Amino acid sequence: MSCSLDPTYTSAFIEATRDVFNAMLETDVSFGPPVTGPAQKLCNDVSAMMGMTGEVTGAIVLSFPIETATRVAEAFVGRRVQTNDDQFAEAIAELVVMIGGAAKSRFHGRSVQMSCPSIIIGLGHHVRRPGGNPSLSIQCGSPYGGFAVDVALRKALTASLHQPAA
Amino acid sequence: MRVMVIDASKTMRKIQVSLLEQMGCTDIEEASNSQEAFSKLDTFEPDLLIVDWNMPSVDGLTFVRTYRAQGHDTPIIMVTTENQRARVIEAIRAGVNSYVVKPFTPELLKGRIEEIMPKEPAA
Repeated sequence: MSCSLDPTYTSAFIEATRDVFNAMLETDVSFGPPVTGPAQKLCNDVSAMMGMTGEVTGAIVLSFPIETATRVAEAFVGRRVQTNDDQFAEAIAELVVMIGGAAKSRFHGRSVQMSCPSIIIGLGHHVRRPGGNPSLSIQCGSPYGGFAVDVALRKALTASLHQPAA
Repeated sequence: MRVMVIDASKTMRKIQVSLLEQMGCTDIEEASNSQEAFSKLDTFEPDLLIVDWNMPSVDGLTFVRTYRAQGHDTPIIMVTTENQRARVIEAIRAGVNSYVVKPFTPELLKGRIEEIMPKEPAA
């Protein structure tokens, strides 16, 4: 199945991730080549998931190895945290909310609502999206470690963002 | 300066409280939801409120409308991920004085606070 995805989505999520880490964690993020196509299988230790609906429909997963998630959460919270602390999940959730919000601000005025985030904590868990909808997967690097931003979008709504909103 | 920070996220409250403390604020109250905020406002008179839009049960916008309807003119900064023009206008019409979009740098929030708070008269 060929999946064409407007490159604007790629830059929206890259810029959003960069802005969030710069502003809230005062750190730079590096990005690997974005991979677009059918949804990738994700395997990691901590994942933050959030849905999008409206003129752009899909879901975001921010996915970390446990060490990176812990360092990021501690940097955000300002103290040591365990994975079973409420503030650990809250910190990771805030990141996916802010990345999603910052990305949608780059969707050329399209009306998009975000769901409440969910945090999955489980060593080596898999995130799979059946259906073969187009997705975008970006491997990121930071001083805290590597992580992934994965966005799945419904094919029917991957029209170019350069078309003006209705 | 007395400030109330209203945000469901303890993490975000901590970030904002830390910034306020760096600005010299020593009288800071926190609330995790609108109901707790109204309860604390019975005995705490802030000079500034910093309110998150997305809160469970009663959202920040509804809190602002209710607070203004009670006759309070205390400056309010809304903190949110929403930056669409219609939403900003909605917040201003509700009575918000300034608006900060997440993610924000400490300098941005500090700047917004300094913009809307009345300056101390020169000695």
